[in-house]
Amino acid sequence: MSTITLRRNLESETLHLPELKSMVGHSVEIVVRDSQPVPGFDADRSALLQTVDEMCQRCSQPGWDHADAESISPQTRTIARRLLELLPSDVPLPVVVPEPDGQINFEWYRAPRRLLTTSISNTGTLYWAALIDSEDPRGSCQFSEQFPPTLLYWIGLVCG
Amino acid sequence: MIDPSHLPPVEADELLARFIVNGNEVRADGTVRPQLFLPYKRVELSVNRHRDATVEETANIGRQVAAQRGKTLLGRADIRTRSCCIQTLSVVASPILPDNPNHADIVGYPARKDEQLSLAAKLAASIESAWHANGPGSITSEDER
Repeated sequence: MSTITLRRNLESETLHLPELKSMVGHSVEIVVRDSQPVPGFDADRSALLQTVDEMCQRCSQPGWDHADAESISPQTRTIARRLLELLPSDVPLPVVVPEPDGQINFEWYRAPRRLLTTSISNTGTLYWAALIDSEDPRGSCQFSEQFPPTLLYWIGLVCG
Repeated sequence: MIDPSHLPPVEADELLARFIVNGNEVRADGTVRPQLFLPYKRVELSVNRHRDATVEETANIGRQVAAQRGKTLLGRADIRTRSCCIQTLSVVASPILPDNPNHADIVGYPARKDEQLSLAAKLAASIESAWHANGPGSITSEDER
C-alpha cells in the first residue's frame, strides 16, 4: 500500500494532480484536510526544540530519574528534533516527556480517550498507541526522513 | 492496614492507589499521562490497596516510596481493580512485609512497547476522578514539562 502526500492551495473544486499517475486505475482513499498554518507555530516549534535540548541534557546520564533510568542518547535526541522539524505547520505540537528506558515521548492529547502517544527509540523505531473513544490502534514504524503518514492520520483524528 | 496474617485476594471493586513522584506524569486538567502506568524493566507495576488503610496511612507509604527514590510524593491516582484487569493484565496481592501489607502488582504487561503504551493509556483514562495532590504546594508548570 503506497501513500502520496500533496500540499496545494485550493483555487477551485477541480484538481489536476499528475503526481497520481502511477495510481490511475487503482481504488484509492481521498482525504482532504484544511492545512492553514497554526498562528505562531514556528516560534512555538523553536521553543519546543529548545525544551527537547534541555531535557536531553538533563537526561544524558543514566539514573537521571534518581532510579535506574537509561540515558537519552544523542541519536534519540536527533530523531526527536528531526520529527519536530518535519511536523507540518498546521499540526499541533506535542507535549514532550522523557521516559526511563531512554526514549522520548511525544503526546498529542485532547481528552483521556482521545490521544496519541509516541515513543522514539535510539534506533529510529517509533512505538505509538492511540485511544479514540473505544478504538485502540497501536503499532510501530521506522523513521525515514519524513513525518510518518500513519502518525499524521491519527494526530488528525485526535486533534481534528 | 491489611492484617498480613489474613491477606485477602484483591477484589474487583477494590480501589488501588498509584503514587505520583514525577511531575510529567500528570496534566494540569487533573488527568494523568500514560507514563504513570507504564512499566519499566519489569512487566509489572506497583500499586497500593486502599483496603483497611486510612488516606494518611496510604500517603505515608507513598512518602516512603518517594523518599527511597530521592523524590517528593506529588500525589496519587486512584483506580479500580476491575479497570486494571483488561486484556493481559491482572492485579495480585504482593505484600512487602513488615511495612506494607497493602502492596499489590498489576501484572501481565506484554514486552512490546506499543502494546504497553496502549494498555497504559487505557489505565490512565480509567482513574477515578482527578488525581489527588499530596497536601498543599502541588506541581509547577516547570515540573509538568
